[in-house]
Amino acid sequence: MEDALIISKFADERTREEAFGYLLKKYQQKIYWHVRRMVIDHDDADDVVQDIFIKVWRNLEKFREDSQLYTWLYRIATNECITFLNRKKQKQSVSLDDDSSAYLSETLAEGSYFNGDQAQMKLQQALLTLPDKQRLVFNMKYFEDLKYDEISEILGTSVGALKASYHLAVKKIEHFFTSND
Amino acid sequence: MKEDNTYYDGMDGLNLPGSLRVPPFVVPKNYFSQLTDHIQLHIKMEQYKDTATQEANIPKGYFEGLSDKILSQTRIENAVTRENFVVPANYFESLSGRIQNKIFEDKLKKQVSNDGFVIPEGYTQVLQDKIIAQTVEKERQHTPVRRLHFNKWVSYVAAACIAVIVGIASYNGIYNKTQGSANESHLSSIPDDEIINYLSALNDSDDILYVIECIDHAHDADGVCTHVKENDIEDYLNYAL
Repeated sequence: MEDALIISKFADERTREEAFGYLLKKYQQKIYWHVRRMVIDHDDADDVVQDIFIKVWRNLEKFREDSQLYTWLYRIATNECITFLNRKKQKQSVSLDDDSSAYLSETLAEGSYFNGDQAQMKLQQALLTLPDKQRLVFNMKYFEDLKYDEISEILGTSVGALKASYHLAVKKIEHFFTSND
Repeated sequence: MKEDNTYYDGMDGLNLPGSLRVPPFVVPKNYFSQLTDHIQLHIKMEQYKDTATQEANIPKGYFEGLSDKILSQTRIENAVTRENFVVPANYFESLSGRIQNKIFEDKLKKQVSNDGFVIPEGYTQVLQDKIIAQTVEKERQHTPVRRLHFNKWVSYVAAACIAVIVGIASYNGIYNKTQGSANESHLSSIPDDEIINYLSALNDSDDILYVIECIDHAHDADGVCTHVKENDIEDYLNYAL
């Protein structure tokens, strides 16, 4: 179902639940993986995804079609991820100024539902040396294959800043791979 | 002894010796056998000469149009040699770094194409049920809405707001008079965060190439980025995100 149709059906109270069902079917997996790559643990991702879609349910009526629905969903998802990770940092008494995502290393090592090989594990470990936002940009470009323009619309950041961030992220990962051979 | 030929008949006493009757001229060996070829060759050369002269004939008005032709040719050549395309500043300086990065990225993609995370079996349906249970069911519960009586305190709040606005305006009026330059006062009143935000929103490809070059050559002692610290780049990019 087209996004425009989902939105118009959602606006009508009689077809609201049906429209939301379509929206869930269409986007839940994309949003789940977007979140999972950021929070690493499946149970955490499950909690965050539910929070995201509850927010979507509450606010979809106010959604203005000057942006695309999926960029709006991604924006909510990204904000929820960052909020969750900041809370997690606080719980683990990690300073918010600490740039790296190293506080998630334990989650990666102990977490269930990771079926990756050695190279995949190494890449995840390398990613955890990056700041959360840089990791976010890398995931969106590398794994989700989003265009810079799309990422720019989701994050509200200039394409140039995204390019430079991605470049820096790849550079750091390369350094991690060469120094951990 | 008499010569036995007839054309000297009647010339008695004036006859020359028979040895002189042989022609005294000689021709080079095989001259006559080659003569035909030589003549034919000469004829061909003459014919070729005529054709070549005809071909070298210059069309009418050739020289009148020649200078124009040359001028337009030079104009075209100028236009071709002149660089019409420009590249952003620092483009070539950062190009090799960006290519190397891209090469590593491609290699990495071949090695690690996905993240390795998995989900429990049947999770997708479970997730959908969970979300619907939390959204649709909650919506159905009717929460009573109570109207608050705030008429009295609204007027107090409005008065306080006006007082604050007037206060700030008069303070600014006095404060600005004491400043030497209006521009300086404006700049100093803008927080650093806002200035960085403004700059990052307006950055263009030149700035980004400069940043990328700084990332690639952060350790070069004589590079253009010697005065830029790695942490500053990191902070700037994190702030810009």
